[in-house]
Amino acid sequence: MGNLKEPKTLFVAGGGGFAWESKQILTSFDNNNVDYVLFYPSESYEFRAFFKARNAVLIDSFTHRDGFRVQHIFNFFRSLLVVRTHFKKHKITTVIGMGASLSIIAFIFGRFYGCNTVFIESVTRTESLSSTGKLLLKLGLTKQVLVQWPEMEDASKSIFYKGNVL
Amino acid sequence: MILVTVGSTHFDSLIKEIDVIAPTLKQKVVCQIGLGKYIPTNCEYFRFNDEFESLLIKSDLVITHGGATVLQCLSLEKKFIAISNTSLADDHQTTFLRVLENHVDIPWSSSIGNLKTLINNIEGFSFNMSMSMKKNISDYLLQNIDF
Repeated sequence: MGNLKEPKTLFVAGGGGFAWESKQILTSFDNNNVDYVLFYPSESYEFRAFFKARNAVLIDSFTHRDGFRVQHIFNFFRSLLVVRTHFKKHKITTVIGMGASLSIIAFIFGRFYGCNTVFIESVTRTESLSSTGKLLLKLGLTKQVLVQWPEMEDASKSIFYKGNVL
Repeated sequence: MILVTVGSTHFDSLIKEIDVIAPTLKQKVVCQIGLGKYIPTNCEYFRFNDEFESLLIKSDLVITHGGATVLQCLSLEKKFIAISNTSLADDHQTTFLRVLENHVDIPWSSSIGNLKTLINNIEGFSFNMSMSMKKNISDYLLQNIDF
């Protein structure tokens, strides 16, 4: 991992099944001295030590597969504050999101601060984009969504295949 | 050791089936049950564990839901069996395993009833990934994204 005093890239890691995919990408960043700030969902257990070792900023998720909870509203606003603080503190030029809906907030700020943005769909997505991927494209919050299967590429919709995390 | 994993959700039907099969197996079975309600009685179990990857590396066989753990096993060249959790949204695990099968021969099923047969036949399996699966997305990010 590079020097964290002046990070330029914000990486939004996913929890659950996305954690391993995030880990794969971040490992290659480590080997190439990329400076980054890392967000990670606080409720995720996977690879905690890995993300902690990279100074991950834990953020409470505001969505859950088991449905809506009032707590999610508080989490949403808390997430806004945390993300805003980090955009102001660090001169971020690139935002990379991996799977998680947490990316939406980061991409909103990324757009506001004029950052490059890339959203990476999970390798388990084989036929259609996730709701997060669709929303980011629909709202114009990213210019490219990277899918991990060549069958899903649709350049006319800014959906590109450039490889996978294996 | 046989490691059974259901990921971050629940897959009680898989845990119930392995709990029935476990006494007939020679190896110890350890289950990661996630948010599941069924507690196995013939296997060791835990819900989540930060040391999961080291357990996976130590295991002789992984029985997994059809999630990212399948790829983790492939990248570690770990012997595994995948059972898709058909109760999840859009049955995307079955779709995922079907697409993956086009690139690499994998032992999997969408029917839990096939688990015992898959376990019995796992010894003869070899995992050979096609070259189309070996294109690293990180190379693109490092070359094209302005860090």
